[in-house]
Amino acid sequence: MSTRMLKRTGLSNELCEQLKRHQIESCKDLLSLTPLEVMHAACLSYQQAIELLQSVSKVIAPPVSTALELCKQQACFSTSLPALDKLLRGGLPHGTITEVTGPSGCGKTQICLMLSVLATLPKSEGGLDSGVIYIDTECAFSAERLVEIAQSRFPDYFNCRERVLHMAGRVLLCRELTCQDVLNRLDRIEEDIISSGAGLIILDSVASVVRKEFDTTLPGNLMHRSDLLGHEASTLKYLAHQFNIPVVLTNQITTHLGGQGSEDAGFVTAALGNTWSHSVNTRLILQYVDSHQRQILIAKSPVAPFAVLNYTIEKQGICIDGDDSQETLYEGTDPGLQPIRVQTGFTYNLTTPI
Amino acid sequence: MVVLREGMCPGLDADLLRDLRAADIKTVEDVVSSDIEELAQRCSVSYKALFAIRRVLLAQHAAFPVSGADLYEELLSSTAIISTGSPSLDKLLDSGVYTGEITELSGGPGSGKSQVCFSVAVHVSLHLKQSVIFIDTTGGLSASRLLQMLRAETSDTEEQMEALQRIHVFRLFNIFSLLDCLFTLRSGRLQQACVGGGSVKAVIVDSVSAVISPLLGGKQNEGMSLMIQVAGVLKTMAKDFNVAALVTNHVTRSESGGVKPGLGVSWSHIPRTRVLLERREGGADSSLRSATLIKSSRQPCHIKAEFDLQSWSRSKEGSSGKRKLEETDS
Amino acid sequence: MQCSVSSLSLSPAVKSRLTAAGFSLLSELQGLPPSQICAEAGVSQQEALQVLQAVRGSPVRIAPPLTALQLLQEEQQQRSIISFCSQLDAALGGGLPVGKTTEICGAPGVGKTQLCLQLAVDVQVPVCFGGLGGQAVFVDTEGSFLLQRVQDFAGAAVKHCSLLVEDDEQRVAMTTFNVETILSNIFLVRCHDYVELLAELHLLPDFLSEHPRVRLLVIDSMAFPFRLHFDELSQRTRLLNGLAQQFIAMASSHHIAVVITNQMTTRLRGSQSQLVPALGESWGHAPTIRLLLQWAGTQRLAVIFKSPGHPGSTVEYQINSDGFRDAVQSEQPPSKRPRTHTIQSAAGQRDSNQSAPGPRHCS
Repeated sequence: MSTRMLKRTGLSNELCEQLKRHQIESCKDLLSLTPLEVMHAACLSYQQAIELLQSVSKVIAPPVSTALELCKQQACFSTSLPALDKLLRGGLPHGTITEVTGPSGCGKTQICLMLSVLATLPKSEGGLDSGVIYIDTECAFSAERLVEIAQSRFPDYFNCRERVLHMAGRVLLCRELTCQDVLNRLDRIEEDIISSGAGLIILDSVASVVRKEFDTTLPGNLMHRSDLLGHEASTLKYLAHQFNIPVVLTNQITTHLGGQGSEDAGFVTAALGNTWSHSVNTRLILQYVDSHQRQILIAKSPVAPFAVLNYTIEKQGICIDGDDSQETLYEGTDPGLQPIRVQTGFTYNLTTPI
Repeated sequence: MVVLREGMCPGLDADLLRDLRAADIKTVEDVVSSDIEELAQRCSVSYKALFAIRRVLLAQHAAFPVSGADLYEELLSSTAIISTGSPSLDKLLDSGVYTGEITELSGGPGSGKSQVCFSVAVHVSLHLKQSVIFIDTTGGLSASRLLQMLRAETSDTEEQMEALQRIHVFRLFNIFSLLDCLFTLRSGRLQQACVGGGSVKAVIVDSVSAVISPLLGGKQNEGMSLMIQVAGVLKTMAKDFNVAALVTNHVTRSESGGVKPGLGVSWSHIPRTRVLLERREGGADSSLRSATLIKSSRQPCHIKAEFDLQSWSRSKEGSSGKRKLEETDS
Repeated sequence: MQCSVSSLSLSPAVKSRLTAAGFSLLSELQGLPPSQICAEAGVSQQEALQVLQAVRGSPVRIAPPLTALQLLQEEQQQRSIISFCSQLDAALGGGLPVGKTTEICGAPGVGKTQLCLQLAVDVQVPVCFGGLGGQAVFVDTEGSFLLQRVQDFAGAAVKHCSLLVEDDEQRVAMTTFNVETILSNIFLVRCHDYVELLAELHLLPDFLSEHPRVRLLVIDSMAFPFRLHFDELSQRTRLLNGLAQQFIAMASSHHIAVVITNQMTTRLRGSQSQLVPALGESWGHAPTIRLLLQWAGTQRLAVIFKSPGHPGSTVEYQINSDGFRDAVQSEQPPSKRPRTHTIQSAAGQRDSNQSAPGPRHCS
């Protein structure tokens, strides 16, 4: 990205040596300085310092294109659920992060498995015809379930064993159990993406490792956790954009305490806080209606309205109830504060969050 | 520091200059601060000649002592007090902004610093009929807002236009342009250019922290020296030309959780009077602000006043009347 | 002239040599040949030349002042960028001002990117319809620039203008105002971290000089790259303060409106937590105008928190398939209400915009 060394940007050797004496060796070091600091380090006048910064910037800066040129690149990953695809204007957009969050047992991992199968399908069947990198932090990945979904959802295509094996062979599973492992994996994942021809990255789940390791009641931890999550988000966005692929993550739930001593004891909402809600581009919330019926809410999306769909989990994965023509909208609010219904008995106030 | 040059005073010729240079004496300060006997021996020059030169240089370059009574007379005749347009704020500042010194307004975003600056500018240009120099470094100056404030004071369009013409605006966004501008103003050239509207009575810099805060910190010390330069030129300009220098500053979090003015301890000694503005509770729509005096040589510190930003938009008819320039006559 | 040598914009090493040689005022350096400066101060010939250029160049560098009257005339001629949300435009005095920096902060999903996309389309409305007829530069740091939405907004703007056509000039303008040309007039840059963002911002003045039709610069968002791990927060504050000045200098000299989006962060005050704009206290002083977009239950509110030209106020808005619009009051006929699920109470239903009934969007 921007760890390019100054030596390779066309600057004169003596200038590079001069800067090296002040521990300025990469472009990042130089551009992080204010002009006055550059004047001091490189012994230049103000005008010359500005020119130096501009010449290094020319090497680093990303290219400028127009929105029209983007037309050719932007595509969507169809989820094979027509009602959802229609609301999302085609599917999960490439180059962005989609988050699926909800209480345990609601179907997050099922969705991930289903998307993995879809990605390996050829384009004629509606897939991406590519590999999948599945980073599993909860050991929830089940190969048998993957095969079951494939064979139940697309029985005509997966009628022979080779195809099933081929599909399974394209899903690259990485088990990472600590935050640092996840980060290391993400930092080195580019080679895997290229070698396996991956067209989808799944991280299941972001929250589990982070919440295991960071106790946010201790003072410094909140900042470290935010730093870590910010680093993950920015790496994932970079990968998504660089390879023009969708990235899917799963998240957990947390209880948001009501403010100023109100009557309600609080409500359940997506975990990882307000800053994380900014970082994801699309947020899909899964919640319970009753023990069998569940719902998907589109809580944050750059293209879709606040919408809700009923679904059940069958052998072939997720099945949306009802037909496509219904307009199913709801009054939405801040995606970081959207209440989520869990599968427990107590009732609580769902009207307006704080 | 003044460099020694030939002919600066009788007896300072090229040979003597060369000898002194060889002994590492280059400036007037060096001559004055060194031991004449030792210097005479080192340069093999006569003691008497050097002593005479030293006396002449001292006479040329030293400052003249002035008696306290004269200073007081001068102060009384030249100081003016400019009203800020809000009676409660004026009371806080001991009747207004004084000329001859630097007054600082600090506060968070939206706390009203720019509004007070506009009000002072409007007051000087409309009621005192003098010029104002407004240096805008943040893009916050809006001529329509000035016009709105003028309309609240008078309904005569001719007067409003004249008042607007007396406000001279500089748009500068970095420290070097600011220093250039201030030095040029101080050297008198631009002040003479504004002669059409009367002499300049106020120099307002909104805000000084926007150009200085990127300079402080990091692995260099130049920024601090540039800040002190700005302070120096503002102070001498205020003193020599009898103008009121009004600057605005931002705020940072202090250790106790409250706010304090920015730019650090070094800057805190520079303005004579410092006021901290804050929003009062009441939400974003409220126009009430509170001002606390944090440094003053005339009033007790930490006294508070409250004022309403809306008062500069509502037109005043009748009672409040016009505020006059208050001269402190003996 | 009474300027001191240390105020020159030369390299610190050269300045210290000059002061060591005894020069303290510019007047002492004037008229000296370079060779003498070399000899006395011990600087190289190139540096001596720079010194003389700096000494001579100083009076010319600043532009002569404008009077407030001239500024007023300039301001009255300058149009603002309308946002199609009439209440917001009214509260801002006509729209987003050109020549100033505006910051839009808000909670996630409240509509910051949508407003930026709306402005990128609105700045292109032809002059004969009351717009600026300019181009836009969109610096995307979050990957939230999605083409479908821009196409929606562009289509709505074209439809809106074509309904207003009255004379020939407007007819002619409409031939070049369609979705494709709108898309081709939005320059897009995708930055992945703060170094790329800084690099791009250093090159922008030249880009703006080469493309004089640009009237809007959007940075969406400033917070994302700068909230990542920084070794020292003071370095971040310095960089942000320097950037603030660069933005206002660009806005002022190239006559563009600079729009920056910011996120919200939780600040703990005692036992209560509060959402405040991110990037720290000193960043609050950087933009000329600050808009806070908030959720109040299911309503979206835009609060004008800071504006030197207008008093603070709060405005309600909504986002629908056409874009950023005024919130419509709930006296609309019930037939237009879309079917909703009873997840939340059905109180306070709002309808979509009259012209194109469509679903309301969430971000």
